[in-house]
Amino acid sequence: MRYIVLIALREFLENAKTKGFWIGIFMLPLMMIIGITVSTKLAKAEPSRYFLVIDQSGAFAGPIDQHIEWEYQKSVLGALGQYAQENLRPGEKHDLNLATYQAAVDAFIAAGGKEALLARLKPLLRDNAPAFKEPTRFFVRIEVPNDVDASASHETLLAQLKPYLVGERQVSTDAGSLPLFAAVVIKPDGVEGAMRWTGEESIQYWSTNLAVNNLTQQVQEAINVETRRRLYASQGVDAASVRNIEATWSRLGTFDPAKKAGEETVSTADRIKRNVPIGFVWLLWMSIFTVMQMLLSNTIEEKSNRIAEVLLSSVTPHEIMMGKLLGIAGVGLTMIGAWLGTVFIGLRFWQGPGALELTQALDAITASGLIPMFLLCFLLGYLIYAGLFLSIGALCNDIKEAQSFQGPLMLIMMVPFITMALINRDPHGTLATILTWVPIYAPFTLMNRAAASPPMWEVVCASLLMVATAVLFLWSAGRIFRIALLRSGNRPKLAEIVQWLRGRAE
Amino acid sequence: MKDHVLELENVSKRFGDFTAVNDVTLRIPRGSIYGFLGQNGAGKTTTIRMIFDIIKPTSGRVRILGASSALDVRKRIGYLPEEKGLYKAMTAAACIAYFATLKGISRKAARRDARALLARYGLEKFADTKIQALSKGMGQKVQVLCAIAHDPEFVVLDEPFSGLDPLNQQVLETLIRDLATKGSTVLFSTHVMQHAERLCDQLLLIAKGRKIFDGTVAGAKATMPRRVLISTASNIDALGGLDGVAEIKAVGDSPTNSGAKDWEIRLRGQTDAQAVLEKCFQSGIVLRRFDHTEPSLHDAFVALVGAETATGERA
Repeated sequence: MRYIVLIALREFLENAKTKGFWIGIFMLPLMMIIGITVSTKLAKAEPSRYFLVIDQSGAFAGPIDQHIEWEYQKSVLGALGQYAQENLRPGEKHDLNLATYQAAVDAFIAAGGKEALLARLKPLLRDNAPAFKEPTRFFVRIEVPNDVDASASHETLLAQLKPYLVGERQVSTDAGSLPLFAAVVIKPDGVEGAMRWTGEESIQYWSTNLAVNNLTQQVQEAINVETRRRLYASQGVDAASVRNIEATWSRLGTFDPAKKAGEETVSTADRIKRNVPIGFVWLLWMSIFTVMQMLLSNTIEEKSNRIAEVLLSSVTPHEIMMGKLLGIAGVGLTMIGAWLGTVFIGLRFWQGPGALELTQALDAITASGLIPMFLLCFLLGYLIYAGLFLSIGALCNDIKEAQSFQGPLMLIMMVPFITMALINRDPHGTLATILTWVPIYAPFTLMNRAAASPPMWEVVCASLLMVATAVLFLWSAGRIFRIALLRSGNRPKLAEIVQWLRGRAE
Repeated sequence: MKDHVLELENVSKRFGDFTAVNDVTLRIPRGSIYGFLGQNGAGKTTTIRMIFDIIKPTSGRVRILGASSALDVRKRIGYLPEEKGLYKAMTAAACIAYFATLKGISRKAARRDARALLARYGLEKFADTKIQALSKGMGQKVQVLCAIAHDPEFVVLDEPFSGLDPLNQQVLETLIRDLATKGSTVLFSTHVMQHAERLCDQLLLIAKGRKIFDGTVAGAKATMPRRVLISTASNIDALGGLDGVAEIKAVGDSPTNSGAKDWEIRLRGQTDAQAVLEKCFQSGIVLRRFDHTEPSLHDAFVALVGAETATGERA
């Protein structure tokens, strides 16, 4: 046992001591955090874009302005919601509606907008709360430049606009001379053209940047609203009433009969919890195959560098194998611990949207059996795959030879990855049931099904099958390891390996 | 009864139809430096692996330090395999310490001893260098230290000199003598005869898995027939009648003495070369050259292995 521990310790330290290992571990959560933060920050830091509208129909310029302003107020309301969440005095609750669906935005504007809401929010904020910063206006309409004749024919108009649109000339804005982002050109028959095809496009959007498409959506929405308003009016329907009626948002309560009486309501935390297994499966997959690579390369190092022979003069092949299993398992658990720890601590201190739900979900995950299940699945999966990879490591003379095994292995390994989402969506479906009984996939499948409470007998029997498989694989690996570790030269043929397994040859 | 660190009794090892080691019996007395000679593929490494219980003999018995398995006495034995290798990413000191801990030394003591050992052989400045940054010879010296870091009673070094430059070979010879002085028994295999000749008290010679000689260096040389080389222009028929001359062979025209011919005269048993010289004078043979040298271990090796190979091929 002492020797197993010594070998395990070396394996563990050799891998865990390297900078690369820790960089690799923290790279993952770090990249996720950086990804989220940078994309939010970048979105906030996006500059205003300037566009102009030439409306020869005279019907849409006003509605476009209104809608762009409405969209901006919606983003102000969203920013206020986040501001409140970040700066509310601890324990303070408010009855303000900070959601951003249509009726809520309408109500926000009607009640006096930002100033009115801030006035109601102020008493609830922390004493040292920073001042609220309004979000940038993404789209700003500017006046048509003097040398563009808004009433000219379509062709003349486009010829005059072109230098601005392709960036040869700049337009004057309140922030100085800047490039023109887009031009909306509406022909005199725009009202007709908005409803039906008139043989050519009556409403045109001109821009060299087609990647940013929010503006087209906003303009289109504005024109839709205005066109509908006209149609309602022509039918004698009051457009304001229609808008009010359309703002109705029905409620739908979701319940789970498997939960305790009185607590059947399915909360956001429940929904998060249901999707958490997929995260665990992913973690399982990443951790198992990362440590398998370590196991493989360490075994090959010992074989190709002839360290095995020195080791074998001191310890038995069994001790080497068990030491490796234990040491690398330690590496794997360290990795998982570091990842889970970062995620849990990170989420615990997360102050952004959904913080409350996240905290509830974390508590639910901690309280549920998901973590013990994860550890069980990791352990069984680890042992099963370790049996495979130790055998391959002992059979190959160098990493190059091992790579020829990698192709087929990759295909096998991709299955849990590909089926991850499918099983999560239908945890009791045919695919899930079949893969539960394939021992090399069972750890991933069981983990995925865990939150959907699969039948107990299936969990127990599949676990027993996995244990049996692990024992078989490790026993075979032990035989192969003992003989193959000292062999060099040609890789043994399959028939030869079968002989070893039957204990016929040495 | 004399104390033996290693006893092999009729040990054989077969791999399928191939017999790698054939009925080898050997006793290595404590405190000796024992040379293990043989051609490539003669069965040296297989024998050594059986000594360490890395592979099991097909038949026969191995006793090492009184135990039937080397693993039972692993703390008291050290091993340098023929093909050398260490963990590339570990430092020299860590490597030596690690292998010492596998021999039962505590981690703390092993770390301390490793540094002391490196210092003793002038390698202290490489203690914290990773193995991958060491030269091949340096790495090999570190590996020798790995084999002896735990002060073993019995050390087996498989081809320890291969790949070392002459200066480092000298260092290694000193190290082997140091071990013997401290009372350790050393078995080393080599195919460089000079090392064996200089270092060994005893040697074992195997060919094709079979033991063909086991004894002292002098004893090995004595198995060689003595021979005399002469150059002369005279008729040498008279020498043929001499008692003790086994064979006279014409080597050809002498390259150094024009008009003379070179002859090789093989002597029987321990016949003195002096007798040949006397006979030459008596018979009026005019000698341009008379060369009588002691056979080297190299000659003995070639002769012994050659004979075994020949019988092997006949069999």
